[in-house]
Amino acid sequence: MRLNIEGLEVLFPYDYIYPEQYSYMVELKRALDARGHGLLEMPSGTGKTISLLSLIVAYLNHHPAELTKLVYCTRTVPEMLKVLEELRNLLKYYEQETGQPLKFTGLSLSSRKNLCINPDVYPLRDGKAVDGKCQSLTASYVRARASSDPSVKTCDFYDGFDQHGRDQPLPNGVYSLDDLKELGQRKKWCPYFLARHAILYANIVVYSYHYLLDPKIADLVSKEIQRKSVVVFDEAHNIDNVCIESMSVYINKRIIDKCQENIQALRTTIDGIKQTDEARLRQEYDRLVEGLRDAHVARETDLRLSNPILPDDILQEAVPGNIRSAEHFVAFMKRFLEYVKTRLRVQHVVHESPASFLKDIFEKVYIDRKPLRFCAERLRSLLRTLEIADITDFSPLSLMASFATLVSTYVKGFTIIIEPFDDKTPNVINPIMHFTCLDASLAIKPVFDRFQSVIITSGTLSPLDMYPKILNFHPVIMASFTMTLARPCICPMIVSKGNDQVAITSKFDARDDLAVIRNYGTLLLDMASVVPDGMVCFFTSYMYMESIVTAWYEQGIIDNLLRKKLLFIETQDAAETSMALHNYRKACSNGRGAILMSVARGKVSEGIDFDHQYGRCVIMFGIPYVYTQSRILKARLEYLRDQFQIKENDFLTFDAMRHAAQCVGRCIRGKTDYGIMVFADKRFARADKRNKLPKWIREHLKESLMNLSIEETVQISKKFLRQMAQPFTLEDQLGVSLLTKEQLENELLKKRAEQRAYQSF
Amino acid sequence: MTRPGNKANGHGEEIILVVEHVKHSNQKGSLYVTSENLAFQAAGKDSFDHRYHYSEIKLQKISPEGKSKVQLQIVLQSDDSSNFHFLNPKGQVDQLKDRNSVKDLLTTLLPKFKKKINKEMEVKNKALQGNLRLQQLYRDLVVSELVTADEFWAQNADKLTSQSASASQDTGISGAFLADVKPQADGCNSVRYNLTPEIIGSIFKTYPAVKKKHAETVPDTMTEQVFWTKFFQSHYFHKELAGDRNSDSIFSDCAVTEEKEMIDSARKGTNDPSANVKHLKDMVVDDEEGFGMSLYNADPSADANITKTQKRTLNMTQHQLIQRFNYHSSRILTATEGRSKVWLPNLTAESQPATPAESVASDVQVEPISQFPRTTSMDSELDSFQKDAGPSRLPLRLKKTDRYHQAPAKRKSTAVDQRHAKRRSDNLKAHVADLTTKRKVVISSQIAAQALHDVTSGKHRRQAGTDFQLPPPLKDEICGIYASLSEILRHYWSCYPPTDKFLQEKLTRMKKSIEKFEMERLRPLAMRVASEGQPVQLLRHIFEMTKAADNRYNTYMQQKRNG
Repeated sequence: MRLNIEGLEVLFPYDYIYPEQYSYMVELKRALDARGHGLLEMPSGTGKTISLLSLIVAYLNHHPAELTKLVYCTRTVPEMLKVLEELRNLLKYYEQETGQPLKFTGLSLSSRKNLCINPDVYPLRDGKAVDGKCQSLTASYVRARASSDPSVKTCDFYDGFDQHGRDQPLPNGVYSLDDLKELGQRKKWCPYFLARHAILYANIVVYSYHYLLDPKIADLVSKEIQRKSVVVFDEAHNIDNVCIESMSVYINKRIIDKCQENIQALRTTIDGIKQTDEARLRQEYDRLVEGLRDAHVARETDLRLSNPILPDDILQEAVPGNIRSAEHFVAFMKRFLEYVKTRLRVQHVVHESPASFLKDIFEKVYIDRKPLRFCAERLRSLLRTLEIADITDFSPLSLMASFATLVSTYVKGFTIIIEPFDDKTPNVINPIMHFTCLDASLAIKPVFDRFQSVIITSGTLSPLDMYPKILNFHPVIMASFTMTLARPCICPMIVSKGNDQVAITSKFDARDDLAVIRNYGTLLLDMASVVPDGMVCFFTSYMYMESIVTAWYEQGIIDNLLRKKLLFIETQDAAETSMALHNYRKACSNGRGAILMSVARGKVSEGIDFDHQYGRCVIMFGIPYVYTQSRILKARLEYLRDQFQIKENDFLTFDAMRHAAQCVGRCIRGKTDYGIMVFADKRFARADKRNKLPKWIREHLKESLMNLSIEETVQISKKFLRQMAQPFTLEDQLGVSLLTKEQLENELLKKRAEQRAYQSF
Repeated sequence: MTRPGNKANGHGEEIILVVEHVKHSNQKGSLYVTSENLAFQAAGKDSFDHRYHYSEIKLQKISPEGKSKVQLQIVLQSDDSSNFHFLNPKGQVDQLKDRNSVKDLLTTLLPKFKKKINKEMEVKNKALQGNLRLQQLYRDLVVSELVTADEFWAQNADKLTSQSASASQDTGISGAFLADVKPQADGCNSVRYNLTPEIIGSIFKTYPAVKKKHAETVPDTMTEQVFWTKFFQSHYFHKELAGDRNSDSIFSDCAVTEEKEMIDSARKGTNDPSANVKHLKDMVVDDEEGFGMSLYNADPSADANITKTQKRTLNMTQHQLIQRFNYHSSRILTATEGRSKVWLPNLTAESQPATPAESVASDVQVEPISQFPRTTSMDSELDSFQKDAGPSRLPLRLKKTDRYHQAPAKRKSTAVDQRHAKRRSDNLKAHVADLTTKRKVVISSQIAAQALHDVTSGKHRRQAGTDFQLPPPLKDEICGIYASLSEILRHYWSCYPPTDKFLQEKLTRMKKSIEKFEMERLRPLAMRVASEGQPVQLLRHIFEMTKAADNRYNTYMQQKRNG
């Protein structure tokens, strides 16, 4: 249908629209008009993606001068594919409606391991191995050598792309990863480099967060994206962690050992080259003297990871004299490494700021700050000069150089923690040094500065005011939308006590209480006998889950569970979990019914949807607090308190509740879907926790559902499930939670829908 | 005592074993195991009192160990059973020995005879037993020789096959079949497990390795009992036990192979891309050690190598426990699935592995693009946006369920607007008038009205307040008669036109059958109905049917006579 959103004609490829989608588009348009950033919360399953796409495509189409590009960042590969399918659908609709196709190109980009089609390379599967092998076939010096020496192997696909691929842009259309691969096969072009080239001119780019947030990669891939772009971070509830991770580094014993090997290898290579081709080293030296670091074109194929620091902080001057010569630099790195090694030889936990680290390193081994800042850059130049075949072999040393650069660049917002052993195993000496970013706003700042509009959206962003604080930006639009429903298809409940009136909680001092564990077991068991098909339960940590499962086994609860449903458990091993998940889905689909035990913050909780029969009930055992004894976390809390005036408890609760909301939200993926959400911890009932749940869940959490015993929970569930199992048709939704164009245009209805669906903060 | 002999008796069968001191149907005597029969001879007689041919015996059961009475029970095909009580005066040990020798012989002998039973008969028998209506029909038609058995089965062949198909449907495996083996501790430091054939079946189906082991070891190296004892001591039953590779338990190598299988299947991963957690995140530097955070990050794969080794040593047992649960559940799933592939139709598409991309015309092997889910199926959330989503079904919406269950009654108050009613009746009249002018008369209105009356007559009677209710036995009988008669009539009418000789013969036979049926069943029934004070009109339709058949026959005969 054609919509008129405040003067902008938007083509929406469906015959019906949810009221909240309309409101969402209105808000989005206002953000784009204001050329500012936005923060929008809308429940999963209400068609966020298509609303975003239709509005932005319409905007790009009507105001090409004001907005030229959409960069859509997703978290997982399946999400990426979903976005592209929606886009394809939308563009098809445009062609249908207007009679001519839009001149738009949309494509996705992923890492080499997902895009490579070279039969020698892609079977390696492992990301690092694929990158390394690719580089050894495509690096500029390898190809230069190949032109004179036919025995040197190169990648046919890259060569094909290099010869013809850049000549003309891709035909208009939508290219998913598979489409790119198929195109690559047909034209004998490398899909990866084709995509990397194409994102420069494509109108819509869909890729992972990391391509924008991680400076190591963003510098290589997204550097040339225009300012007049709108960046969308979908499923962005975890964006602060992504930011922090992309700037953090840790170093353990193994990395140090490997670094030593690397340095040794570098030395022998330098010695070897010196005897055969000293001119090469000489040239490099001269280049560095002149400060022409980048004059040597940083060919796209030569680099895997770029400088780890943000573009603004990179020094635009020549490399300092003491690390210009290759041997000097290697010696310098060796000295730095030895220093880090001595630092790791500690008996107690050390906690220090980067500044004191720099002071100490200067006093102990006379390493200055300035050359440290160039380490990453210098190492890359050296590796290129030496024409190392597979530079992933040197990734430990690159890491060390990155660390040197980071620690000397950032004095604020970072901390260094050296732990001689893991807290859980105090007897095993396993020293580790964390260089951790504490400030999520650092990594995302360039994005906010650089692009015209940045939209942060997710199903769970509550409380909305937290994100602007921790990401340090000023949104022009902040809104939370609820789900308009024709029937109450979610049923959140807080179970606070067992049938024996013992309080249910995963509080630290009560979590090993047998009564609590037994009550958890009874809850699961009773629900399993009521709920059809699939059930998912989340625990707060792997350790907790393992101990509970063992206790349940001893108490015979597991045997009784198996009478009702099959049991699958997430483990720390990804492959094992995939298997369990696959079987779980199979068991749900063939009517057997199954329970999946999983962990909040685990892989399953973050990326797997349990729609319809795959999850009729989600049980959250306890509040998923992050491991609060972690020193890194403590440092971050302290930083948040000092810098952003966020109370520790507030942040911890916020973090726990967003994960809880993510977990329980997994079971609702649409308006025809329905599911029970059980929060099994009495602490959920407290106002400070409850109010941090997204509005669309909070709305259904009535006062009467907040303090239930197990028996009451089961009774309510029974009633709910019986009600929900009735046929639900389009007509039931129409006019309430689903609107036709006429209904939407009906001013009265629109007003009412707006009132119901939208609440501005 | 046992005295194996070769004495041939009058039947010319071989006596394999004689056990004395056996009590059977309150008589003491000796039990003979011969080559064809299990026979009992009361003390002091010289002929067999009871004789059970092996083919009659369905199965044998023995009294549980530790019971004071040592008994053997045989269950016959007719589901009757008879007991043999062993009363060897030398004590229980010898009684047991006696019993077991009989039992062992029977176990070898019985299967030989089982095969001899006519397979087909069994199927038919089963079909009859499973379907009461069919049984009734058979009794009415075949037993009373109205129809020959062959004809009957030829008519009901579909029932036979469907019956056997449904009979062969397997039951699934309960997830907790091992939990059903409740270990019971009795007073003296021993534990007893109750093992039923169903549970053994489940174990074998779920764990083929155990079945294999069972086949290998029992009874060569150990007895059944020892085998199951070992089983219950193994990790299968005690999932928390670490696979003790050094122990001599026969299942230790099963544990090893299983573990290998688990790891293999995990490594192979799943071809269900939507369940693949590994490739879920599009991490660019995910396998780069050192970047990111190790501890803060709940995602353990970041430093999998470290945590893994630690985890293994730390809570090996817990981890193994979880692994075994996963394995157990997946085994049950595959065991169930392997036998009956029941998939919900709309899910089959989803369950199929992603199709590998068609190889493009090139000599290079094409990468199977199976890493990603083929998103041909759009998101479920958007289904409701499409205007015509699949075939539309009309939901049955009942405002008043009792109205659905009972026939429509007259409305007490006509809530319909007078004006509407008027318009509607006008419409109807016009419509009917239209109809009558167009249609040529098929049946006279009188007959039609009569038929209508017949159909609704029950209702009217009830309305009239006569409280019409048939007594259940009579009702059942009438229903049975209806079924039988319509079956015969079906045979009868199928003979028309009687073109060949066979059909003509059949026609006459059927005619006779109908007459016979009328005489033997209908008349008595009519008498009974009348005697019980029920309206005789009940049977009017039945008699009309026979009359119609009669008329047709007469016309046929007339035609035949005429030429």
